[in-house]
Amino acid sequence: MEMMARLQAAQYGDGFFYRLDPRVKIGVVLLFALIGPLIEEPILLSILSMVAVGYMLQAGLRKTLLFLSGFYILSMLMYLFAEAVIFTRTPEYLTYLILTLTMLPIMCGGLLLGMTTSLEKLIAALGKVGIPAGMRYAIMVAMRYVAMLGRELRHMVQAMRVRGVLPGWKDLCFHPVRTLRVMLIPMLIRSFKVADRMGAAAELRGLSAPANKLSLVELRFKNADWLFLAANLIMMTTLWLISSFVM
Amino acid sequence: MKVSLFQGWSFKDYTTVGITAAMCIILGVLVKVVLGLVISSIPALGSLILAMVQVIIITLSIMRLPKVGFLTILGVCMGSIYGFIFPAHSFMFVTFVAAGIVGDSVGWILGGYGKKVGIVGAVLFYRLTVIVFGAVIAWWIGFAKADLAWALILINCAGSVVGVLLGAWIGVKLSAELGRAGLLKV
Repeated sequence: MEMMARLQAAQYGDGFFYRLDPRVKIGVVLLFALIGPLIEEPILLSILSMVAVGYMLQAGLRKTLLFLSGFYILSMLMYLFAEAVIFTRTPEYLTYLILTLTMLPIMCGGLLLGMTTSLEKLIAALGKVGIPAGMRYAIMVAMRYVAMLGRELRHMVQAMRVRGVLPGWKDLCFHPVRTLRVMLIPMLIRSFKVADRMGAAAELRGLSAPANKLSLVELRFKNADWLFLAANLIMMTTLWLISSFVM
Repeated sequence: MKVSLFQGWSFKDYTTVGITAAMCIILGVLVKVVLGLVISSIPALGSLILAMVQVIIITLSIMRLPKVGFLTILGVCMGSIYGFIFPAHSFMFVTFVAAGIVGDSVGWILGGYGKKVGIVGAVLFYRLTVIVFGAVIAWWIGFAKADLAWALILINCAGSVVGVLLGAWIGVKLSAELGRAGLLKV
């Protein structure tokens, strides 16, 4: 939850990736996701991963990169644990390496989009690609409320602790339904009330009025956007062609 | 200009769906963090617990807003966050949108969300599609090269079915309390 709040603050930085049109970043994420899995050679996948990591470093996302490394180390340990202890067999290191190298650019691309694009720019970009207004609004509410819900949950847990009704591990194990009820009902009541208030505020501001609405963010493709998109397209197509026909 | 995609959908409804998506995501993360090691050790348990917790929230939200299209918009919201923010795996967007469409179709076939059977059927197929579609995408990326992948999918599906049924049962039980709070018509 804290991470989401920090993420929203970090989206307003300055630099090449912050100035790029969000549609270009979405395009690059999709290129990573669609062409990446088609490349099977570890060397070519390493090149692609290095490019993605380079983008992250250029955008100043060193901490995120460290977090991602931690995630991979943890997932590797879990994989080794599952293979060696649960299935009692020798782990396939090469398969795991290829999977990691395939996933890394996809995740880097997504994080780059999420961490260098402000919510209003992202919503404006979704509008430009034809997502209906209501759906854009729901996405915006979900993204904002993820950070807000963390605070709500903390307040709820603090209030329960003060009253001495906070369920413990024993309750969760022996009375799961009762524990879920105690935890979920206050959260649901708070959330539904927030939904009512936010919905009423949206209606009052005329969001449902049948008129063309202008966005504060004006998105326009610049030369840098076209160049970046074309460079990525050429690079990934070349890697795929080398993987398919040369190696 | 057409403002909403579905007939009869207001911005208040979209807010409810957006907040439901946020709750599902936060609870999903909490479950994974709190029970991470247990879940990773026993394959079906993760799907069961995750399905149960998320289905409670979704069931109650659908009871509050019984409109077909709920799961599709929920899928778009959850897919946008899972796909582009964290864990930033863009295929998850496609997975959740597909799951939403399948869930809504099943709910519509079963007579809409006015009936409990419609709600349970819709959320059941929604969760199953998330698992099966996720597995197909994992196969596309290359995870299926590991042995036992299909056995794990079947185990996860079985866990999800149990989780969904349990979650729906708890959700229906909890609906009375929300009704007393004046937030749900039961």
